[in-house]
Amino acid sequence: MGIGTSVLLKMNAERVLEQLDIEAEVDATDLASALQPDSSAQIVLCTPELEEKLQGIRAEVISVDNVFDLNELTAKLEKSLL
Amino acid sequence: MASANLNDFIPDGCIHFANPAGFIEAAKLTSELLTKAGIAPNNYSDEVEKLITSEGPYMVITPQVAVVHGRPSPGQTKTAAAVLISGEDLISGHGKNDPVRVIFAISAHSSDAHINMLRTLSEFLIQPGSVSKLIGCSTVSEVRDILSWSLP
Repeated sequence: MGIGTSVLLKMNAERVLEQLDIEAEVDATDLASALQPDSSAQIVLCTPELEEKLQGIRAEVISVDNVFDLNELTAKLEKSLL
Repeated sequence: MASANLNDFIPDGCIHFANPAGFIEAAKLTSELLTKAGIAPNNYSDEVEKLITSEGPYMVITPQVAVVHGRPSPGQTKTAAAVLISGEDLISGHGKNDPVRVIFAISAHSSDAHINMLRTLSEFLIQPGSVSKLIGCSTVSEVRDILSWSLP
């Protein structure tokens, strides 16, 4: 369970996924967990500072500028999932 | 879930107006409010500074707003937040969301109460105009009034 910004991002990702009618499991994790080779994540959402550190992982990395801009989140998740 | 509002999580003395010299000073000042209120350990503001300098301004999550915290420590069990409203624009280095004017410091631990606080913060920040209203406040009671907004 995350403690800060990752939880806020998770909550808004869940809001958007629900509006898009996409069923998904969203976890708030730290960077180390996202980098685990056995991570089963299909998509990793992150803030721009972390994008570079996540290069090369199996999951698709989506960088989010404004965690509270649901239009940005919707556009980026739609592009990836629909 | 909309019954709680952010005031429930912000103790007396944890709303502050200031003109800090910079973003890190402001982040430290905000976390010190939690220490003074007996919520966070004495070195909490140093922890907050360490995270900002080592990880970058990832905590500036939306324009003008940062949510800062230190690393969780074993004795940290209380759930609370503090808020600082800066009279000056603060530059964190975030490419899109600078300048920062509002900083929330939160206690760092993992529990249902903590998640509930973050949900309440999320329901506040997602409302259009909530941040600009906060920036426009000049008294603690005005801030309390704005913070009582919750999703209908």
